[in-house]
Amino acid sequence: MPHPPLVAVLPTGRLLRAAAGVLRRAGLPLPEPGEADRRLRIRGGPVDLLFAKDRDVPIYVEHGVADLGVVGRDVLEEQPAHIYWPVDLGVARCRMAVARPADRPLPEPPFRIATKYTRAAARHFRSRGIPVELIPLHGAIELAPALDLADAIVDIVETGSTLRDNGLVEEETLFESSARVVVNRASFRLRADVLGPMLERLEAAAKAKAAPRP
Amino acid sequence: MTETDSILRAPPGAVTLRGDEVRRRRRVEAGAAEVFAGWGYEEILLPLFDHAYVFARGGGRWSERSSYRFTEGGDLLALRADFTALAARAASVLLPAGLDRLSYRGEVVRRPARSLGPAASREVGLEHFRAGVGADLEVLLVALEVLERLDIGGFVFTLGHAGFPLGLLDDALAGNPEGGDCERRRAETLRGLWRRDRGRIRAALGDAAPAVTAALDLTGGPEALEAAAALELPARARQAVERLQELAALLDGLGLADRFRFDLAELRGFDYYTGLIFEIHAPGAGSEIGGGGRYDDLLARFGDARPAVGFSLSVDRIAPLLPAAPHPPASASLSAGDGPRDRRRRRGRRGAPTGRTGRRSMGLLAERFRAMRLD
Repeated sequence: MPHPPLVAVLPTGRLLRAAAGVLRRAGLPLPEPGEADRRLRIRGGPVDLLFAKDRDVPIYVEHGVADLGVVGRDVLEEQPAHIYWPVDLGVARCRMAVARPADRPLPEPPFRIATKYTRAAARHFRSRGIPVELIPLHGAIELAPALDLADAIVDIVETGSTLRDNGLVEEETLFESSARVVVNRASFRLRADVLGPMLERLEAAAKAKAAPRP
Repeated sequence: MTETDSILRAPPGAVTLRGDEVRRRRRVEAGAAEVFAGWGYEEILLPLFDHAYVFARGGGRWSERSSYRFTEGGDLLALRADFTALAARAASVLLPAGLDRLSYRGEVVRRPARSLGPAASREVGLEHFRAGVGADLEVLLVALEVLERLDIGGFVFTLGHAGFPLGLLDDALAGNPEGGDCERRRAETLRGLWRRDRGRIRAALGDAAPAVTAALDLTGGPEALEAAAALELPARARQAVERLQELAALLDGLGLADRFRFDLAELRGFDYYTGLIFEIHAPGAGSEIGGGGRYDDLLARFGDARPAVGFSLSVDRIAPLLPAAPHPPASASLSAGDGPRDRRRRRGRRGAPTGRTGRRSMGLLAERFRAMRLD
């Protein structure tokens, strides 16, 4: 019986743009850059591709509708799933950080923390025994301290320029994030014959990217 | 919410099943019960709740935090979150010591990581309170026979041994002590092993990491065990490989090698297991359909020195994988008619081969296992 092709789920948006080169080098049949392609499912190549919202990638992989996926560690920390994270693609690097207004040090706890990443924030402060009031927001988090809605924020930081432009400074780093290849635990066992070489190609492509250009 | 609303709408997680969903689950339970009884496992009925500390002492992945707790007369109680802890306590405290093969079935209630409410799931499983490779092999064969009897296609057992990754980890930490930081580095490394995340292990162990990340490459057939044996290993990891090699040889001798793979990084959650660890996967199920292993310290937490090995199978995950029902549930099938369908069914019961190994040969397998007289 011929085996069905592997299914990979990729996040639409920023992370995919950063990872596309590495993924193409590893043999994933991504549409060429600039091609206007709105398909959510691409079949017929050596690997079937699905495109989903980044926070949904761990769910597709955990349920096994995709054998593997690509997603940032920031999402994996926020969206816990019982899956493997075997390869770090080393792209889309950023960090999860606590930031506060440059002119206003943190007050005595409990802090008021505005964030999109409530789970990561709650775990970070709980592990330090610091009481906080979490204020869940969906975007433009940097506004919250300026309006005195919060004392500080927890958010992803790439270059730090958005923080600077809004008068914020980094107080502490929670963790470093980058794009990860995640794998369904059943596929890891049952499709090892094709998945193993695929993971090796992804790892090699990530290393080639990391190496300095000659 | 008005009372009428709450009468009409069940809370999240409160699920009623009917029709084929029910029949499939009952077929899994009935098939397992028959096989368990055939191997001499006595079914026990365990309570639906107990003191919360029982589940906490059980350790495991489903410890206190995922259980549903409530107070009663000043005691903190919990809904059944795990059978193994309850069975261990029953065996240690209530049951005669001679009773060393127990089986169970029923629901457990847990709070999954992303749930909106409690989630009940059905399990069947067993516990065998004996040391030795013979007991390890026995529980593997019982689980295999259940899946063969249910005609589950393409399932694979993946075997590991807690002593391998934990032996490497403790050796790495001992050779590289950094005071009070040790606990955190150990926990981080376990998380890294659990997620197959080399970077996390490197960050936790530094120069000592390669000895531990080596375990992540040791997966596959018996050649993975040979590759492990060729490494320079601390004693505990060496013993783990030897035990798995012994088991692999026995499985090979029974003609079952193609159903078993090895994975020397497998831990199934944190340091709950002390010996054999296994997971069972099957095409069509996104997570394991069953798993288990050896936990020789578990009964000691309830004051009993006996070792233990066991497993559970997920009734809910196996049910959708069953082949179509051999007989539709027409009301006529309840009567004692003697149509062709009934005749087929009786033939089936007598042991027509099903699946790759087939029922008849599974019976022979049990006989051959007993003839091996392993301790």
